[in-house]
Amino acid sequence: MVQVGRAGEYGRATLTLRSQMSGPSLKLGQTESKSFFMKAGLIAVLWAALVVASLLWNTHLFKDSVQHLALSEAKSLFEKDVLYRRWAAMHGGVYVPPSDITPPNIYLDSPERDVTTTTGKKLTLVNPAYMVRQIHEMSAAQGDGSLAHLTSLNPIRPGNAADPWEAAALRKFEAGLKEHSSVESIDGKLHLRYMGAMMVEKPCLKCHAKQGYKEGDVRGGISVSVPLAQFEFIERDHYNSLFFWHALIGVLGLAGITLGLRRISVGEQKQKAIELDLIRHVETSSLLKRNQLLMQNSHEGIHILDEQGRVIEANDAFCRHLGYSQDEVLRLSVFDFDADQTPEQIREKLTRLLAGHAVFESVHRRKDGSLVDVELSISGVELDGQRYLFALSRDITDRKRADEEIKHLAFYDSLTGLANRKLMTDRMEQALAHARRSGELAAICMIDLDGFKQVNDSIGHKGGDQLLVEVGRRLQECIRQADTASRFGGDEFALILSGFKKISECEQSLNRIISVLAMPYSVVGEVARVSASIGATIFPNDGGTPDLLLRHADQAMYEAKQSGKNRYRLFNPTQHNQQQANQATLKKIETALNEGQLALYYQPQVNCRDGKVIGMEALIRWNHPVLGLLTPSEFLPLLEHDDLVVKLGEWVIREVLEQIAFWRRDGLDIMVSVNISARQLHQRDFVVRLQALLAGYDEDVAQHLEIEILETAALDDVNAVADAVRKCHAFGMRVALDDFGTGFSSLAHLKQLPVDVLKIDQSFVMDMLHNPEDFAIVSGVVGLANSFRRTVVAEGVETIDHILLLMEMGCFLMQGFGISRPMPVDRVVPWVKGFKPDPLWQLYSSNRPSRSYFELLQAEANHRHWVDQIVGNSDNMHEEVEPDFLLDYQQCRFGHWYYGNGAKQFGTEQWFRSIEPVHQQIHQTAARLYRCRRERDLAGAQAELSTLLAQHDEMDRLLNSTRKEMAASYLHAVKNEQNGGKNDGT
Amino acid sequence: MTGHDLIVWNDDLVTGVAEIDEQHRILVNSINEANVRLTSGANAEILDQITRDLLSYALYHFETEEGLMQEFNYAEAKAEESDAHMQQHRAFSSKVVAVRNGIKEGKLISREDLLSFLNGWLINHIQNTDQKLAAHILQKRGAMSA
Repeated sequence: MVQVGRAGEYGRATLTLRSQMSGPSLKLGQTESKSFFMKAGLIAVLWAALVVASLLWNTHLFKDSVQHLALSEAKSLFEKDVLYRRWAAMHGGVYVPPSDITPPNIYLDSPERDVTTTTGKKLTLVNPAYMVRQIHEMSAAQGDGSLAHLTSLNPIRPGNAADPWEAAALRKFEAGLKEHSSVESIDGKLHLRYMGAMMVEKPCLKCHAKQGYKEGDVRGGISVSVPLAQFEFIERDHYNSLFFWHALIGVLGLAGITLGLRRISVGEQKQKAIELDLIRHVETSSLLKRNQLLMQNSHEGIHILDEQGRVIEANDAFCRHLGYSQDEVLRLSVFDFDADQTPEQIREKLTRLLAGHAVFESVHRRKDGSLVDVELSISGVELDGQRYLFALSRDITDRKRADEEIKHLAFYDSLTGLANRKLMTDRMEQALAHARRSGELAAICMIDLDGFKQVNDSIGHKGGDQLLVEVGRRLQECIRQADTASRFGGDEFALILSGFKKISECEQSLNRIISVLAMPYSVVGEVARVSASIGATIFPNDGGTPDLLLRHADQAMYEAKQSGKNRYRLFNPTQHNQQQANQATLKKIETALNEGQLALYYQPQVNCRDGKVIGMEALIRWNHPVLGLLTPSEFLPLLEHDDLVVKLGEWVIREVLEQIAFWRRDGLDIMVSVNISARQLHQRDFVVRLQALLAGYDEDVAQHLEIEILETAALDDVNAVADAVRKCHAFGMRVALDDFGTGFSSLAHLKQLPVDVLKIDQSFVMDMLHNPEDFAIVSGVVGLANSFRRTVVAEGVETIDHILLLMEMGCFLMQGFGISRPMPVDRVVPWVKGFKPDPLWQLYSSNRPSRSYFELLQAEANHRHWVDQIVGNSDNMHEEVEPDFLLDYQQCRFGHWYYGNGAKQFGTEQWFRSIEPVHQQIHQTAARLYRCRRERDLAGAQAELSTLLAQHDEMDRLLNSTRKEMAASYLHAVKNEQNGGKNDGT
Repeated sequence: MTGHDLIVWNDDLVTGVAEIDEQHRILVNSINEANVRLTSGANAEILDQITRDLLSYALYHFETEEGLMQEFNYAEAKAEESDAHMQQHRAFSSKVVAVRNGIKEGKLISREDLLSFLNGWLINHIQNTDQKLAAHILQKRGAMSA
């Protein structure tokens, strides 16, 4: 009973609400229909206006075209008249037999007006104006109403006088106008009147000269009137057709508008009728039953709460939803099944909802304790001073699950369940922020499986997938709760490892992951093996966005792969910065090349035996806009491993070929050598490209080009280089091995490489005066070259002593500061022209015995080296050296010479004897120096060192001045010899 | 690792001119990197790489500094300092080239010598010469923005 009573109350409540609503709702209907008619009327009026406007516009257009037609008709009549008249005038008129129609022209003042033929036939002269008038009259009599009229302001025949319209037109012609037209009414009918000016032509003067006409005057005109009536039928037809179509479109449009709007209106009205019907029905039928039925049959759960949140009414769907019976439900309150909020929150919400409406998601607890997601739509209702909550609930578990799935798909890898790249990036942001706060390290790692493709190929796609799942599982096991493992796709995984204090801790983790992933996998009944290459970058040592860190980790992973797989590599930010800086420098050099900042300098090579310039070595200089002139050793090493060095090398060859050709035209016959980098030499198409560079030059030019290959580059691949050398020979070029001595070529190599020239590395040449080992190397290379019959060139020749010593060794071709520094191209020709060999060079070629001179030179060098060694060891004490050993002045190289060959050669000379005490003192000082050093007597050592250097200077001075005297006397003898020779000749 | 500890970036190294400091940082990192790599002994390959990086450093860094010198008329304002500064740059490049020539001839510079040279450069040049230039630049920039 209670229940029914409540239901009844509820029913009444609904009714009240409805009838309260129906008033305004009906009113709304009337307003709506009024506005509908207004709207419909407005649209119809607009449509009609549009159609009428179109009709008027088209009619207007057509009227224009009728006038246009009439005008062309009039013009053609006019033209015809002009032609007739011109024809008649040309013939001076025509004779016709006089008749009623054509009587003699009384206005024609001519003695030959009326003539009689020899046969007695009478003829009268018809002048052009008369003839045209005749034709006009004939045309008017039988025509369609068109009239033509020949007229003038001063006509000979009064009947030709102009009417007012014509007179006005003629006046306009006199003012310069050539034609005039307008629509005029003639006898109450519309005509198009056209008048064209007539010029006085020569034949006209026959009749009109007496009027004072002159040729070219405008003195008359032909006016043509065309009745518009003849075109009216066309206009009428057209207008009819226009009207018909416009009317049709207009009517159809109106019908369409009406129908369309009515349909909308009918729909609305129908709906309103149904609503009204329902209300009426409700009013008249059993409210209780109807409501009960509606409520109970609703698929949505419906329940009604009182102000305290107690359930006072619920339908079956709601009971099913919570798993309670009707009776049980009615004993519940919202606090029993709302599992989403605290009682306070529920109470607060209840209060809020009693005064309004809300739709929201919540969670309900079912009778069995399980939770279910719901969407609630709750409205507050007031009835007889009591407030209720009317609630519709819908189970949204499925939708929630689908949402979750979508979310999962968006953030997780579907195969392994690991995070995907998107989630990984999000987590990285968090991990990095955390590391920043805590001051700990975080590692971002990229993992790529080694050999996964082979496994996938052999055990199949499905097995491959299983393996990936297992890899994901192992990764999860290796990392901590707070870390993230993710799969980026394929066999590519990524990790965030955090919470490290030291890099070594991170390395431990990586090692563990490497070994765990390398353990065998059991998939689809088979055992598979893969390993992992990991690249990691450590934050904050490496800073930047998550994206950048991933890229760096990827780069390191690639390095791990490159260096043998199954390992990790840490990204090195310093190296990376350095590489970027190097790349930037490389770009600058390329720009320099493209912008012409690079130039070639030329360093002469001279044959010191005959004093002739034999060639130039082309050397690159960079005219740096800020740093000034840079030598190749300052920037070429940066290009060595880049293709830019090839581009640069080719540029050099092009420049040099052009230069050789130019010099040859200028009469300069020298070899020019260019340096070829190892990278260029080892290009597969080196020879082909060289050939292309040579194209267009005479063989003669190629024959003056020498290619210098670094010995070290040649040794990289002796066979290939030997092949390239042979091809260069085929082009006529010469090939030199540069920096010879640095690459430790074996004799076998030299035999294999058919090079023409060996260039001794400058470091050996420079140092040979100090260092007996370098001396030995130079001497050895010269001997080697001579026995292999190769030309030998010494680089790094700095002083006359170098030159003389080299000549003594048998090396005559030289290059170095001792001869000339490299020079800009425009200095080459003047330098060659002004070149004079040093007279001292003739020492070698003189017949005088110079052997002892060179021996002295060498002894000097040996002594210098000995002193250098003693001085150089000041920081690096050789405790094993016995001071007593140093006292033995006969055992050093200088001593050997002094007491051997030297004594034989110069034993009797004063200067020679004066050297002995100084030399002995030097040895004694050296011994004392060593003793001080051994006893850590730094002050003593310092003093002895000063003494040693002073004594050394003294000995140097003695030897030097002696050698100069010797050279002078030799030269004197040479000069005498030459003079003597000349005298002999004369 | 005797004798040469890793350099820790510190205030003495900061000149206050952002573009110069950034490049100095790279140099300091590179010197430390060289220090670590040379610990296990110098070989031609490592030395070649290190000296190549130094050449690159010389090119881009000296260009930056000498560009700034021109921009702020250092030579006009402080002729002696400017000359000495550029002289040090040239000497640095020459030394690196000499070291590379040595490597080519098989005379490898020792870790000790290379680090002495680089640390010496850091102290003499960055902490001294560059600071003078930076003071000049900062003063000019200050005058411009004032």
